[in-house]
Amino acid sequence: MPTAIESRGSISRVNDRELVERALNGDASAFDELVLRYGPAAYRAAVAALGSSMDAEDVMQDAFMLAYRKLSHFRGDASFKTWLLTITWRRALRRRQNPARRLYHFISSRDFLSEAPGPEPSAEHVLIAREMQQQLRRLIRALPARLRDPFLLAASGQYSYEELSDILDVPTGTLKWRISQARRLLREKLQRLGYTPGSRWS
Amino acid sequence: MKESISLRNAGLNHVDQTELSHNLVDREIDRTVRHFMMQSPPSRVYPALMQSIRGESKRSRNRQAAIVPAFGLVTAALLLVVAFGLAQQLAVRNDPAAPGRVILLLTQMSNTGLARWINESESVFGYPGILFLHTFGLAMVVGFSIAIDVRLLGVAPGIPAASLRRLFPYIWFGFWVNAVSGLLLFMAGGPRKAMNPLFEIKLALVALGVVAMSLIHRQLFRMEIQSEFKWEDTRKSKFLAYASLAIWFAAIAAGRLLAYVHGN
Repeated sequence: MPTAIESRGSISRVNDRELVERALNGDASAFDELVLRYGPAAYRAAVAALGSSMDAEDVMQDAFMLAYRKLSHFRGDASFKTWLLTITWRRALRRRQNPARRLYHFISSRDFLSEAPGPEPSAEHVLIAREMQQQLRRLIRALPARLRDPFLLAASGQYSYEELSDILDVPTGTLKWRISQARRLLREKLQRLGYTPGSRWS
Repeated sequence: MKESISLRNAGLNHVDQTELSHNLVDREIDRTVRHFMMQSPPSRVYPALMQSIRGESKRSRNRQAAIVPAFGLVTAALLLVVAFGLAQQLAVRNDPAAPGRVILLLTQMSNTGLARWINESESVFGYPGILFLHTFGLAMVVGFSIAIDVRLLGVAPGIPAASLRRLFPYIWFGFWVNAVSGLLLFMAGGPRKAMNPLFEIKLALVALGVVAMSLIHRQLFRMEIQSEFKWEDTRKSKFLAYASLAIWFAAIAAGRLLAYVHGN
């Protein structure tokens, strides 16, 4: 299988629509290219929804399998990326609502985004920075989903506001408001905890 | 005056500082969260996913290639069982003292409220409506089948034969419209129709038509996944196309004659 990744060469210049056509005609390497192109975006969308890299891995694979099965239903009204990410997002939400998964996370008390590395702090501020990152993870988890989802998706840097608006099915204006609202809530709570520039900030 | 201006400046400074502080915090939040989100899937995910997709592709194709003929064969077998059961009844139909169980059942069926409504109602949705649906279903099944058959016999070579596989959902839709409307018509005139050998012949021919249709579907499917394989040139495809044409011709003839030739 690594050959598919190694021999990208000319296929990496083919546009998505043509790749979909080729995949529909049985060219497996065309779909491989779509997987390589949008794997990270799908993965990050799943991380934003679930906060766990293990869950995100499963959802990403699940979404690509489903996209492959339903490829003939792709009408090209939206871009392939938006279509794929809508599938990924729905799969991720379904997983998030799964009672067994909720129970597991409740029992294991794992932090939201716990496997996600934060920025490297300077040597003298390592402890404070880690503490702040830990608080931030906790605060993000406590945000209502309607604010947290667009905030994290936007932070991943993989999507335009228009794409996010399609995926989350909310108007762009509302989306921007929710992102700034999420940031405002995080800021206020962090400041209340004493994390202000010049004090405990790294 | 001076004092009030300096106070205003002090107020502005305070606002500026607060805003600056907010911006700094926001920037730090964004930086940290961006780092949280800058994850990529582990590289082992890609080969595993690609392999699963290839496996899925083979599995679903094999499944599809197997399901359609199996479905067609089961439908054909059911039709044959009905035809055979009715044919058996023909042997005892002249013995009024011991009418067969099937004949008794058909008589009961033709006395139900629905059957009587179909026979006696003056509504356009009664007998005429159902007969219309039966003819419409027939037109879909036979019309599309003949289009595929003639393509396989070499007509319109510019149309890729494999693309005609997309007509099959319409053929099956027509088939089920035909089956349901046919069942209703049979309920209405069961015993009389069952006495006519042409009815059993028609059912058997429809069963054969379904078999031919399923086999053609399977071959078109194979052709689609092996585009270099010129299946339409082979003798098998032509044989199936001729058989399908002959079967549908005979089935329509039997169905039409049923209305004019009466059994004993």
